[in-house]
Amino acid sequence: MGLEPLVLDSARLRPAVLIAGVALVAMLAGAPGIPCLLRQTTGIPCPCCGMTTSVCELVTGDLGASVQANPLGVVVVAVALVSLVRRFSLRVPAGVGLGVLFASWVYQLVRLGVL
Amino acid sequence: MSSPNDPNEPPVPPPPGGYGAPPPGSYGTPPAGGYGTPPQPGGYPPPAPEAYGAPPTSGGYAYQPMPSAGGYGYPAPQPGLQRAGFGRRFVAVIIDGIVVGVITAILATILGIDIGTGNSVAGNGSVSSNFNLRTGYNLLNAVITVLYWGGMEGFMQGRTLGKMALGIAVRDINTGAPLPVGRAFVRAVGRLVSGAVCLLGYLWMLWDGQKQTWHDKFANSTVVKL
Repeated sequence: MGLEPLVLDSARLRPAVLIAGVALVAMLAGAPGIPCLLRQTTGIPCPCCGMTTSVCELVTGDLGASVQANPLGVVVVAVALVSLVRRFSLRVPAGVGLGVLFASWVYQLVRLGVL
Repeated sequence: MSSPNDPNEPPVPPPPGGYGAPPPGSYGTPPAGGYGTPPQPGGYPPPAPEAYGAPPTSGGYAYQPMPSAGGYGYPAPQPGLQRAGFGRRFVAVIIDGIVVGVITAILATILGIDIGTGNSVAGNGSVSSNFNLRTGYNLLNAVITVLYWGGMEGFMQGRTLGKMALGIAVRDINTGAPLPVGRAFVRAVGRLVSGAVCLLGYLWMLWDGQKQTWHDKFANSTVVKL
């Protein structure tokens, strides 16, 4: 399994960040978020569960509630904001990415009472 | 998942105006033992400095373009074909999602499957205890998803309705040919995996070295502009 490193490049992220920004404004105005398909189907949360809640809480100023819902929300918002104002190209080893995902999954399983 | 198409591997010429431009700095320092010393004694004369960038028509030591640190050295799936970016693929999947959603909703009504509310309340940090399951409806949606995407991409030269509207198509990442029907269905099933982790498998193309989603990786495919 020779996993390629993940490349976080500002130019590639920017269109997705803009789309996410539009969706975020809609959700803050009362539109429902995108439900987690895994959790909606099976009741088991996925590693990214709580992300919508986390981002919404963060941009409305509640850091505590944001971290509680999903600690990665802060990271995602930070990377998204920086990608809008400066160029960068970060290489993240695939093992680091998978490790973060796994840790996040354990956190969500505990938070939502499955573990 | 080890892709046979590592960005460091094949020096396929990039499409014009595409992502393949090597960083300017890489031209200044030739590799040791490279251009100054031809490998074959009595062989080719050392090329003039202005010959940089123009590959020799014959001979052993062609300049190999290095992929940049940004990972933009994608090999093109076929000369003249460019990979579709996130924006086009996003709009295409929205169109196809609406098509599949309409079919699923009609079938669910006929079959008497409860749609339910299936949503949690966004915007409050509390653990939502009233998260409504939507198992039957989502399983029906998964079946339609596999049939629609597998059928369209397998029998319509890699094009769904959304892809037709956006002028893009699924292709084999190595040959640039449309996928055989079986692999199109593998890709369609792979969509379920891509969507299961909060669409992370779809977003993967944003940071993947090969610009592939998870379902692209399962089927060894990519999406190109036509």
